[in-house]
Amino acid sequence: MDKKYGVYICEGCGIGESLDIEALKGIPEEEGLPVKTHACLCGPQGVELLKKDIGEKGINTLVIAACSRRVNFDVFRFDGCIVDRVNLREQVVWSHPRSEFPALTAEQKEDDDNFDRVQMLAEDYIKMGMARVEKITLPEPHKLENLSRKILVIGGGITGMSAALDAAKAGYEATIVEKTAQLGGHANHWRKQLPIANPYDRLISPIVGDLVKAVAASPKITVKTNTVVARIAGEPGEFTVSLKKPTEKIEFDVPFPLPDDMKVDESGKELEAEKLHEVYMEYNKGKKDILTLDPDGELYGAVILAAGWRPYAPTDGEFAHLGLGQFPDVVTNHQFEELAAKGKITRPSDGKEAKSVVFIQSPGQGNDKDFDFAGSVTSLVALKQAKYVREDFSDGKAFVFYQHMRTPGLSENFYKSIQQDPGIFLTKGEVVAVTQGGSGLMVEADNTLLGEKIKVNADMVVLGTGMVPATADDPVINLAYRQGPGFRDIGLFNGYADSNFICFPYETQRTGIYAAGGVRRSMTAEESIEDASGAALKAIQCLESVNRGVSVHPRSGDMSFPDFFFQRCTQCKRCTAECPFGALDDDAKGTPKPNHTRCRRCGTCMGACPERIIGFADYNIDSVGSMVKAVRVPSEDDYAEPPFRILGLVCENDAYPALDIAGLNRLSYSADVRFVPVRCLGSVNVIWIKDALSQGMDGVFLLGCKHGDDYQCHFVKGSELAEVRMKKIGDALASLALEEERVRQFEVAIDDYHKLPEMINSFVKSVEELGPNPFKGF
Amino acid sequence: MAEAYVVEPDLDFIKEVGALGGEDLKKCYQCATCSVACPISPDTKPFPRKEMIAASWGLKDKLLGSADIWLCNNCGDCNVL
Repeated sequence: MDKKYGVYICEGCGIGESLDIEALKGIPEEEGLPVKTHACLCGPQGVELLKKDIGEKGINTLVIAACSRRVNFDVFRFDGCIVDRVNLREQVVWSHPRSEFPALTAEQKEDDDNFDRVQMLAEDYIKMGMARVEKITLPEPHKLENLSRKILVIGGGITGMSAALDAAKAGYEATIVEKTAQLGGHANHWRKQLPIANPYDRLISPIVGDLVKAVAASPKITVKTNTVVARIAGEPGEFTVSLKKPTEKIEFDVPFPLPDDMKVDESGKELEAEKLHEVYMEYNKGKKDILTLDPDGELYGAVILAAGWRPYAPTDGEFAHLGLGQFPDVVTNHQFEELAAKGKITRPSDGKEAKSVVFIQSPGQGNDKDFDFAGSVTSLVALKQAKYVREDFSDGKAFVFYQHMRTPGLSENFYKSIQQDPGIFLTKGEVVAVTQGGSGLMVEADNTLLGEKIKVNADMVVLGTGMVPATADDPVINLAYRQGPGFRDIGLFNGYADSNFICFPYETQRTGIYAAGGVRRSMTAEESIEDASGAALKAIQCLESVNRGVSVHPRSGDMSFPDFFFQRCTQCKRCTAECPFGALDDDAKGTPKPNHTRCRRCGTCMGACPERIIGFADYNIDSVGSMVKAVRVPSEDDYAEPPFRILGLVCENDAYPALDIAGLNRLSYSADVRFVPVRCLGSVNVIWIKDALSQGMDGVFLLGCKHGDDYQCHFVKGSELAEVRMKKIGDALASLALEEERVRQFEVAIDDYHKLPEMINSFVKSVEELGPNPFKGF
Repeated sequence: MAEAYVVEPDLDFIKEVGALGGEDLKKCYQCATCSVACPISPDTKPFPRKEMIAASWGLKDKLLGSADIWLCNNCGDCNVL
């Protein structure tokens, strides 16, 4: 691209009043770049001015020094032009008011030893913007060759069918893959189900039959029963899916990574690389490697994971104090439902009518936890099944012993209607024992609402066990990805295909794969139907982004993608291992193989690469490095007491907005910090820190989202990886006789903006106490 | 160790109480506001809370055999709150 530069400084919103605009103009003028000012660049005349320059003068690379890039992005969007937004408003003028940082008086200006911190800040930012636009180009979208718009739905229960129906309604073809012989899932074995519509106060017949009919009637939905996914290869928009019968073994079954106990020899020592490979190949005998595509595979664009759950299976001896395993009349809620669906409830032991049934919601034994994988749905199911007892027998009695009775939202109406039934008795309590009681069972409970220890004669006892997600047992999606067939950090979520993306519930760690229903968390049929809609919409969003070559989420619309200078790649595999989304596979030679539509454009690979061969068209090692080097670092040659210079690498997701909000609220902080926005802290390459320190800057901090089990990092691992890398450069710093306290990482959430001044100022103070960087001025 | 109380709800009794004007009886979820409000309720034997659960569970013996109900002087504080 033949660049024609233009710098534009807006004087509105207080910028003109606070800064010496003439001096600011001097910065581009020094470099020979044309510069114009305007009282209000975002207004119609301002935009007219810009459009005129673009149209008549051929300006195509604009540096717009005005408000934050997060506002007016639609106003300052010009086709075919590079636009860099220099934040003079929120991050200079608003956060450094003249009341806190007074301008120089005419007299003060005469002494060259005086300096205006805010003016220096503004001048540096303009320099940084100019440096950046030199090093970036307009991204060209990467388009797939064989784009498919078909949606694969794994699982044919209520969730899967609802998702397929929603996709079909929106005009997309869907294929449901169901492992059993018929559609419907668990709902096929229910007597009744919980309400899904107003007034939410009574049980209804299962709706699953209607869904099956609707699916059969839809021309856009294909159903494959007795089928499972053997392997999903490729990338969103172009997934090559190999299907098979559940018990079959085929050559396109996905290879599995070695389990930990196979990676070591008898004495526990880790095997050599060659031996490991041998064992791996033997373990996966008969399977094609992940790079070989199935010629008979079907193409799909996006995947909805609706594989659901299985009932929790207590181990031998588990819940023995509750009589499970000892008495045939002590069953789980799942088993009770199957009995109830067949007819009147009778005791498994002798076939007699079960007129007194006790439902136990917590295993007890010293704490108030529910059974594993339970949730509000298990509370609701206990109420439902209590009602069955009353439906079957006019003198039936149902007792529900709970530690938690969770009936969220409008299911409160259902709870109230059950509570009103004269034969249903609800009480908090801890069941301590289930023993033989005459011809039936005796349930003993403590800490009940009756205020004393109680005993109940029961014909049957039902344990409120939970719903184990399918992904806890096996990967299900069977991805032919280098990072393995399943979701990587699923242990954090107890096996559920979930994430910490509160705002984006159906997202998973694998782009193009959206989870819904019981596989995502334990939920009712009504919640599953809603979940299915959400996942279907996400799948459609994926298809309609990938077809334009742009990222799906969270950098929606981002056309850039990582570019690799393979000639200098040393195959260290750091990028392929660290990519949070498994976007990079290894090719036959061990060099990274990018799959661009899997990529979320976070740049973690760029931050990882020690050879620095990875970059994006509009965001790369050089563009950020040049911004860092463009900062003027005054030394004792310039002023008797030169100000310190701190670099702040700020993640765009929560940290940069928090800074803007601080500015919006006129909260002020040190003017000696220079912020550089980065896509994610994971994309921070240590060379930028080295650049900052070697040119005399006194300290560097990384500001980004929280990491850990309760991570907020929008790219899952970025913030965590940055922390690990920062700890490692401590050694490098020490070898340069620089204190490792000069480099720190801080966590901030978008609503923590009021904490920023303290965070920033105390870091600046701590660096000032360490003294200036000894490399300054060289 | 106190002997555990064997719960044997009397469904007919529950229906009878309902017919006699206690049809809202089962709405009680034992929040204890009534006992906190009651001026004569002691700390350890909440009144009328325990009477409410005894009635809604049809535990005739707890109600008929207990003199506590006669302590009430109809101040209505439990009702108002």
